[in-house]
Amino acid sequence: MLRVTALFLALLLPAVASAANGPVLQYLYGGNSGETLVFIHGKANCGRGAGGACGDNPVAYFTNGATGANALNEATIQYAGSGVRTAEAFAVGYDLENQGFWDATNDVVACLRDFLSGQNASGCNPNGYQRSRFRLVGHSAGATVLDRIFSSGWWPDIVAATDGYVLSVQGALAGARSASALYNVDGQGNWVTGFVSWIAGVLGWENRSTGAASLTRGAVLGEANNGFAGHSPVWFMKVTTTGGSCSANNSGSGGEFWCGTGVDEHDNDFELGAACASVGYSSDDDCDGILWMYDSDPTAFTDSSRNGGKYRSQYVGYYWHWFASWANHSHGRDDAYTTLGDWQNTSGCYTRSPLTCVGQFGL
Amino acid sequence: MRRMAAGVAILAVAAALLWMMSRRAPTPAARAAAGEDEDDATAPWSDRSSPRASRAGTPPGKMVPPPPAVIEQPAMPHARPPYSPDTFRLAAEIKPGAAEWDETPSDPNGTMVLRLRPTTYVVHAPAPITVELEVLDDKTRRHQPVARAELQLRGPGDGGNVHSADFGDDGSMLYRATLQPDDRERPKMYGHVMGQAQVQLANGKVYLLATNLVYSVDPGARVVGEYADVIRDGDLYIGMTLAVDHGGLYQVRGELFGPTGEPIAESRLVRTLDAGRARAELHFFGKAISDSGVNGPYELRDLYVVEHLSDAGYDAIGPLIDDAWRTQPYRAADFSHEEYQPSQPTAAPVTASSPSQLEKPLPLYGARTTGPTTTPLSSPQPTVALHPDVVAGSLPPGR
Repeated sequence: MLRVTALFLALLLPAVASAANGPVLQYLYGGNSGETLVFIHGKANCGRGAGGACGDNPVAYFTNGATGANALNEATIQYAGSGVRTAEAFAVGYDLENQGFWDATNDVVACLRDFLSGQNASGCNPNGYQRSRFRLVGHSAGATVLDRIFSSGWWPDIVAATDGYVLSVQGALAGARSASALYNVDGQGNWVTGFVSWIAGVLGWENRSTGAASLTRGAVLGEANNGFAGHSPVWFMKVTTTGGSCSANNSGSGGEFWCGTGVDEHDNDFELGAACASVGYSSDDDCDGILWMYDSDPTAFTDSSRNGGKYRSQYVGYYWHWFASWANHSHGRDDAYTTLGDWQNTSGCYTRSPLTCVGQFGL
Repeated sequence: MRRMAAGVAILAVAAALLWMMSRRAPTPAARAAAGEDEDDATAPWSDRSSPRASRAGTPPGKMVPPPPAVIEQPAMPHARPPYSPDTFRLAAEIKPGAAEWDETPSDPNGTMVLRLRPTTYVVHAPAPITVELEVLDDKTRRHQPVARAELQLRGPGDGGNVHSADFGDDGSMLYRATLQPDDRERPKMYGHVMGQAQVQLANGKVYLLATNLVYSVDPGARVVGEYADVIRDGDLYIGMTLAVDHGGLYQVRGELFGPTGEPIAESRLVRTLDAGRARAELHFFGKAISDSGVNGPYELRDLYVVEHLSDAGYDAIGPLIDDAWRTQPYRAADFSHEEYQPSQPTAAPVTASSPSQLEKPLPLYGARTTGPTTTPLSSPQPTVALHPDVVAGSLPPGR
């Protein structure tokens, strides 16, 4: 017989998944190349009927709060000698707050299957949009969802319908110590009191987010041990971050205006950097890991066949360390640096605005 | 004149000092962020658990100016994956159901590390659920005492009820808490179970740690033997018989090793099965074996069946068969060295131009913003058109 507790701590455990919002499919841009990109957002509730800016409106997740421009625009543009190729942009909104990433994956799969068939069984596709082939781009925990789709083997139809590479922008491919480390409550020393409450709010601990709780390092690696992560049969192109001041661990800027670059979207960079160091993490991928459920490069095979990467024996699939972006986790999805003129062109892209590289080389 | 110059210099120095003193004094956390009072060997950001020889990136707090706006061409993969989608090169044995530690540092300096994990990530009902806790001195890696700790678990179908148990140890300072669901409680616990531990250390500080596990029924199919192996079209096939209690979507997964334990490849088979007996063949793509250069006989290990329980939100993983089968003494050269050639789709694609899609609602944005390009645009540069829902300042915080 289990002992049912009435301790106050019981209230801290995440709510059960029954209140999850269903998925939505949003058509954002047309294109001239015949290609279609589908964007999968990270930990947020952009599902059907959800509140907030991204409820029913997943493009908001990819939109720069300072400029109102969204990064799906440049992520679907490729400059070629003959001019400009553009791909269609769709985004799937789903609930990764009120349910674990395993349930969220099921919702995304149901929506993608509706997109493949032109049906609306999941409720995400009332307009009956249909595309028989697409490319997939995930940011943060969205890449965790995509990794599950490709690694688990349960959905070969989606794998077969996917063209080219799967693009993982700052993907949470190995879970995060944040989900446990930031669960930490120090009742005496208050060693992270200055910012942990803010981080807790962002990560959802104040609401005891089931999505965040599911993304612990132990859970994601446990799933990988079971073969449901780290087993992609197609290349995952991983974008990591370098960290450093003015970036993910922006401890040097003191919260000032983005290190003088004139780029907005600097909120809480100072706190991010301080908290990152406090919980014992380095820059590069680990800093995002502690803060954003992101351990960017956990894959096996550190030789040149994978372009580098940490060693995790569970990850026997195909994961390519594409490049490390100086942009922090937030900027990695909204490309604040495009306000400084970071536009891809025929010569290449700007890795500090990673979605310019998605557009130029991911199409 | 000389006095005036000296006065100006003194004033300049004083102004500089005042300016420096007016700067915000760094907080302890900021000092930690900046790595002050730390050498490289003990810096809080050093990842001592990482086998990587050197770490990329920059330590937190090191002032690094924004990188120059350099246009780049990031390297792409050299080639497409060489093996069929069901076969992976195996770097090391993977134990399905194995658990990983979640670690939490005790303070900014990482003086101690609190570690929490289930004994196994997958717990097969009706076995009890056991969670382990340990606290290590980060420098000596010696166990530290825990004054008090309690585990709380919540099952996915348990309506919000939280079950708790106290941690205890046998003097080893590896603490364990065990919960034994009864017949009535068990079904409510099936699936992904979320847990947390409230931990009080000897110094009085209290921490909350998170963990996850899967509490699972056995899958509705199991391997009953009748193994056979054969080389066909340059690939290795290992057949077996399954007893299927009820129809469903199943996988069979297994790992292939050389005669002295060399990891070679991992394979999976996905099948919809009806109740009864069924034959299944695990396929190991030939090039994965020939690339290894390891001669047989090969060992099939870590074989298991998985059932996809989509309604219940988890996958039921069957018991592990550690040493399932030994193949004939094949040689690596017996297998094909050809790369996998994916089949090309034959059906006409459905695109935005397909007749069924022409009457669909148009995209939210009718125009794009483009940047300067080194080639002429095919049309005048458009301007951005914002959807009314996208209002600057009303967006979710960055994550």
